[in-house]
Amino acid sequence: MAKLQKIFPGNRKIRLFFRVIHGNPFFDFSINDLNEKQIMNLKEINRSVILFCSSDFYLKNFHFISLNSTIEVESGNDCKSLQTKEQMVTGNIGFDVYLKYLKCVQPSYLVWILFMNFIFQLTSLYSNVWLSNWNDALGNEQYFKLFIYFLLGLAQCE
Amino acid sequence: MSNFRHFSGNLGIRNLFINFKFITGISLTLSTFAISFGGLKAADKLQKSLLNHTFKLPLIYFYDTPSGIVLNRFTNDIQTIDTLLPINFRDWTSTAFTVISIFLLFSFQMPMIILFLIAILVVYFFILSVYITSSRQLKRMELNSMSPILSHFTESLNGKSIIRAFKNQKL
Repeated sequence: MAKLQKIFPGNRKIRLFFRVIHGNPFFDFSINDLNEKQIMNLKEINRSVILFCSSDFYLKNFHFISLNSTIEVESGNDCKSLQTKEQMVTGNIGFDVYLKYLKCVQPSYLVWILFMNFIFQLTSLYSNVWLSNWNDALGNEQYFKLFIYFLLGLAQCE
Repeated sequence: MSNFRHFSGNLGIRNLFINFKFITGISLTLSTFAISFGGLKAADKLQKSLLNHTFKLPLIYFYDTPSGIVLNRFTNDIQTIDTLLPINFRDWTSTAFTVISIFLLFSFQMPMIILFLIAILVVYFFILSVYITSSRQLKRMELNSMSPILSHFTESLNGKSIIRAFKNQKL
């Protein structure tokens, strides 16, 4: 960073950009602000490939197209960055987000899902209840078979 | 032979038991089908709306934002909506119904257990609040960190002629 500020004196915000602007008509590339040696210097510091140096006189920003990452060198002047940073949401996800997804899933499917889950729970519970009733109604001879059923159920448990 | 006779005597009861199991299986299958189709519908709708909104954006947006951010929305986020969300939704609904049924059954059978269940709920809520905050933020950070990689790939692919011209293929 200190080396970069030595290379670029003055109140300028210099940004090394993470993009290759290829054939963009809005910016014409010129290396009039820098000479070959300075670019080579940057190459050494940055350990990256610097391909172009563009100067946009409107925003007074220098864009160095590198293949590394975005490096900011601030030196007083508050120029606005061209590139927007990706925003990251923090905090809990509101109920409206879930509601939005559920609206996309369509209420007809949703009713179907809930109803079928309800039926599933009801029948799976009641089949167990029915098994116990059945067991009570039977005589002693069936206990061995039910014990095997119990063992099988035990083996199913995770 | 005696066993067979015994079973044939209780055929009605056994059939009813089998029927319950049959309905259980059918309902589980149908709910899974509904979730799969609903998830597909939702994924389709969300992807179309994302595409529509992206096409209607002003041109300056595509200059301002790195292409990785746009690509990230169309690859990672859409993949999450396509695959992860329906599976998690299915798991959530089945687990919620199981928990509710267990709670109801227990509290009908012995009402004193409700106190114990409330204690368990408090403990679980604490674990949930600790776990879900870190898990959620980690997931977001993971998604965000994908964007620069994607921009790197696309932009070096776009500028491969320039890279070749300056003989900088090796990083």
